[in-house]
Amino acid sequence: MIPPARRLAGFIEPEVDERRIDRVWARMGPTRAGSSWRLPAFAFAAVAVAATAVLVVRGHAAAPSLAGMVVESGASQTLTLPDGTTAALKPDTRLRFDRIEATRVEATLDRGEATFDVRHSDSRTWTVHAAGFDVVDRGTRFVVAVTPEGARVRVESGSVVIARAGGSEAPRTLGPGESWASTAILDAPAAPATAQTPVPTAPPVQGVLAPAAPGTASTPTAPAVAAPPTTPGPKELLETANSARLAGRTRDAAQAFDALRTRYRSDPRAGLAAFELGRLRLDALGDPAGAVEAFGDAMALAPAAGFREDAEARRVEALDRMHDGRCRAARDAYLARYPGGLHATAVGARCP
Amino acid sequence: MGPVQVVRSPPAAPDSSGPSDGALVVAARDGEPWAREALFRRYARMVFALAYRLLGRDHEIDDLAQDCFTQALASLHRLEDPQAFGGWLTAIVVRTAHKLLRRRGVAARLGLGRRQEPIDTEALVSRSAPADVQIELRAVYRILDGLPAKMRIALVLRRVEGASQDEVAEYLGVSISTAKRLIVEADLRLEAALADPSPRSTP
Repeated sequence: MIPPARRLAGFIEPEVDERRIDRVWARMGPTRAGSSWRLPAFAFAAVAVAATAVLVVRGHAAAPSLAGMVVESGASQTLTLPDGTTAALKPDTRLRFDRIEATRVEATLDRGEATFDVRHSDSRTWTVHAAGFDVVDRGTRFVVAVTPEGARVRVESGSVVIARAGGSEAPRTLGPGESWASTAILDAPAAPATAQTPVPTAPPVQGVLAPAAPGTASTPTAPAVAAPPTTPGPKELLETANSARLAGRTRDAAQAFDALRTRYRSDPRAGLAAFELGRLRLDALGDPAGAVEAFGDAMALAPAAGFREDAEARRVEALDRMHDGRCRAARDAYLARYPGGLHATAVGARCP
Repeated sequence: MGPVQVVRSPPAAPDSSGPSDGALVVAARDGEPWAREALFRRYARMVFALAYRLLGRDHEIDDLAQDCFTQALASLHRLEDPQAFGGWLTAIVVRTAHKLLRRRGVAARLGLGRRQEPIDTEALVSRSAPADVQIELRAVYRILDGLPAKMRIALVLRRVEGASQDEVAEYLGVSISTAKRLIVEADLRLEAALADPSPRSTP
């Protein structure tokens, strides 16, 4: 006689570390980018750059998921990387993490302004790509901004090296208090120890940062570029919500999901947005009443969706948490609809 | 890749923190590279582990995992229920492994292809497994290379993954009666292997 079949998979596990996972991801090449012809050129370039990634920062589980991440800040926000480095984004800033590896981190500032406070390591370089220039950290707090006029950089402490991407010009080093805009260093303190080419030869470019005193906070004196007011569509709202959630801004994520489901109720993503909103309200925001409403809305918006069962079960959970009298009816409705459902046991134990 | 049905529950649930699978699939379909990478990283360990158990050899699973994710990410538009990504991916792994084994079997019959080293059952099974489990798993992997590809997959799904007959049928894309027949025949061979624990026993 042989024993009855049961799950024994836990006793056969390969050795899979992040390096191995990253190697396979790198080997997948352009197919990872999917319908790349639909992407803007910069997005395709970012994916192509990331395709050569072979080593991920070790010891930080969150690091691999940041590579390829795009953060669009609606309001000011600060991102903290696993190594303690922070990137403080001004409103309407778009920052991409192209690669996060043991020996280098690369990010691209597509627009807006970000202040980087880099936790320096001799074994790792930190580079920000901005409007065709590479800004390489040398142990630094620095500000990078990208506007239609070009890139500008200001160092608050430490130093950075600036080079034109792929260019033959000699790189230049900025020290504390120095500012630079596209082709000109705007200001250099007397005899900066770190400056290699400190001679300002061109007049300040209109609309760039004014020279700043060492250690001062970043405050652009130029007026912000007036962007025409636009209403984000469902795709943009979903991107915003997902980016916000990845960045840990749960309330911003919930707001975007809520906007999607209320503004675009006929959009096929509205039901999913309502479901995600319910999850956030219940799991992260401590708002079971709001979760009940959102899960109910998800069920109404997408009654035949694959997440319908999950939404119904989570709604029972939320009602149970509120000790709401509707819980039993919701529980019985779930069990009637899904007698052998994935959550039948858990749901059946609720609302005693 | 042939049509793949959706199986509800993957054998191993990955980390479910962060965006749901549905949200990631929708974003990935919209061309977001980060969402594709997030899906890959969320399910990479599950795919590696399942591939390892289906094939029994570590050195082949990188290629298999790569093939599976390439197929999955290229055909996300065919996934009707974005939230069912895990089960859908599991089915892709099973079918890709089956194709690999079938191709290898054909090549071996033609005298082509590289001769495989026997599966190292001692190294394969965790030493933390109870004695009876170690005996059973080693018997499973001792007979594995001697089985036809489809029966081999059925045996691993049933005896290692703990899949039901219905799930075996669904993953393999065969009728339930065919799945039952495969499982019964594989169980008979397993029973014979358990009765003769010689490392060289091959049914």
